[in-house]
Amino acid sequence: MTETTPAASPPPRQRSAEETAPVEDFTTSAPSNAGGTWSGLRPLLLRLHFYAGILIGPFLLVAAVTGLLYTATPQIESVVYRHELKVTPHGEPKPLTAQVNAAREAIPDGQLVSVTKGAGDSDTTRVTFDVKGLPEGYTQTAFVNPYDAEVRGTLRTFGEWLPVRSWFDGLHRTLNLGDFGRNYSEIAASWLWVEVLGGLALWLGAPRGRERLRKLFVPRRDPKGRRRTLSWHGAVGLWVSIGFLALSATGLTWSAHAGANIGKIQDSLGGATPSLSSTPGHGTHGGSTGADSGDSSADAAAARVDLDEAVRIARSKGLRGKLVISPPADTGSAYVVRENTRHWPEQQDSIAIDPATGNVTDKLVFDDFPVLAKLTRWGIDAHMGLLFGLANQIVLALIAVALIGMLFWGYRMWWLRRPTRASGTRFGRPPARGAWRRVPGRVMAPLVVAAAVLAYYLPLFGLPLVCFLLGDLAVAQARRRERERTEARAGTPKEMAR
Amino acid sequence: MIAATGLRWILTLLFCALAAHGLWRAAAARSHPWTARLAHALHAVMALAMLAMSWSWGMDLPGTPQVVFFSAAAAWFVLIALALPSRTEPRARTLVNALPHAAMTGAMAWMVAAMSSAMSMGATGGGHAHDMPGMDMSAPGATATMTLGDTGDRWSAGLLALVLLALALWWLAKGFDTGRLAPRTASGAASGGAVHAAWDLGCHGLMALGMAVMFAVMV
Repeated sequence: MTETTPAASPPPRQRSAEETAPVEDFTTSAPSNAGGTWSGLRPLLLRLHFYAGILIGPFLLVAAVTGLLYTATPQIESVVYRHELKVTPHGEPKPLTAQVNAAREAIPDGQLVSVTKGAGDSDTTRVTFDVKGLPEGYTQTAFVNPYDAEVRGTLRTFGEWLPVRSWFDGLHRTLNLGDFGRNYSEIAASWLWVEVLGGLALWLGAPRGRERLRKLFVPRRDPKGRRRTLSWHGAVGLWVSIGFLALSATGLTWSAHAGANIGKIQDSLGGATPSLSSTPGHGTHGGSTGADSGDSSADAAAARVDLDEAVRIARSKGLRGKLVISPPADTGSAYVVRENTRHWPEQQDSIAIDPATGNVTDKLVFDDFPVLAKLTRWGIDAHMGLLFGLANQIVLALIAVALIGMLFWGYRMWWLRRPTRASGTRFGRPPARGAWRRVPGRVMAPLVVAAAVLAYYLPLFGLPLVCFLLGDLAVAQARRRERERTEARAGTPKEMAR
Repeated sequence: MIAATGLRWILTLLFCALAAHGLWRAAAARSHPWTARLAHALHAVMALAMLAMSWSWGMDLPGTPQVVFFSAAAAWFVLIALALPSRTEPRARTLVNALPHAAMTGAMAWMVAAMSSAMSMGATGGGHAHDMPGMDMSAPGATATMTLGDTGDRWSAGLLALVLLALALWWLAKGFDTGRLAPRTASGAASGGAVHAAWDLGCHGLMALGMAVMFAVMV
């Protein structure tokens, strides 16, 4: 038994004024303008923070746990797939065309999608094929030893992710439940920032006496119970808030519903990620369209420029690091060679090469991207633990652990607030209903309009909020009627006595 | 017409609720003077007109009768404030209270006129009425299917959107204050009169907000 169980709970003790201050807000809801706007707004914010924490907490917990697992996947992959990923350099590398031919023998029914030439001497070459029957977004990749064109293995890949990472990636994004599962992570991302900003306001605005700064930033260790838990919840939340907000924002950018809206806003602000034209516009190659027009490797072979030549041209044009070469999809298309270095400094330049002439027909330089497009790229790569390598992964893992801790402390505070002397299972008291009545209309009106706008653009913030409000109204109405019935019953005997 | 399905349905539900509230108040508020009940009915008609305007079939409704009706309604709010001032308020205050309603119905008349004008420009240009060449037709899934082509109209629509947003905030703020400060019984229920007053103000605010959105997507 711990101190939190009803049987072992200590008797109620006198609390200091400082300790009771936040608790008082849970029981008062009478309209009052005394104390200014913040004192009126605080109970409403507390109620929102409490209910969002209780109801959205499970989604955040799943996101944090799966995200924590995801942070370790690069190391897991490097061990599990060491044979496929690494070779011992010996002699001169074989031409890419020979490597692709070897890969084609390993995956004979696939259509060539891309060839990834590793940045280091010990990296295998990845030859990726589209194979019928694979789920959307998945490909089959052959890993070829560049020195002897030996296929060291084939794996089902999702983009550039190998099976372990793609499984954990799917778990984090969709719980591996497909599009329906995406809603869970979008709910988490849509509400995380609300919880963080609300929590920050509550923590920074909480009344404190002496040693204000220390209490703000350093969790307390001495007193036990809700006070200490609140201290850990608030102080750790303060330290990690920037990370939470960054994860929420970047998570929203690739969510299904909010992400589409953010994309439209980004486009309207001129921040769309530029795209490379893979059509060289050559007069004799303009007639054919569509990726199904034939075997792309055969097209490439028929052209004057082969894969090795495309790489040589790309290198001569300044492309560095890991290169991904997409052969022409048809006779009217160009080779697309793009850098794929997703750690700082990002190398994301790409060029299009006419397969007939070897001329560079289009070029994208990452440095010339709009700021919003760069921020999106950096944000996504930081969220995935790629931008700063191991340090990035460690920071993400710490943020995930902190989020798990925040949720644990939040639920624990709820548990500690439960009535301990009542029989049966009872939950902790929620902040009192009617907190909005303490907020002046001039504050409430813009808040409601802003919430409505946000709810439109972040639907999985808006829908749960509307459901909560409607549910809360229904509960309030039911309880009011119950009280009225009770009052009527209590009043009837008196009337009869008269 | 609003092309974005989600926004169209949100506005449809909003205007449906506002029309229902207006009709209910017009029918049930028997203690109110007939002018107030007529005002509720006018708000209900305006909500229905806005609802229709959110859908493609609403574009087929004749514009001129609507412009006449809402212009007359705007004038009505002003005239009635001047002719039949409240017994409890000075005439100037009654007029000030009526002006936002007049502005809203006037804005409604302007919106119908601007859209009819843009559609007729499209028709004279040889286009099909639903293509509305006088307006820019966005791709499906965009916020609106149409934006006003004329720069002056777009500026006017933007200005009206801001005015209506300000009115929405003002009414909503008054509604919240009326509701929160209403005297309550021991069971926590607010008095009926205060609740109705708060809902009326809130509905005015929501109507102005819905109209502001409609104007914003026209810009």
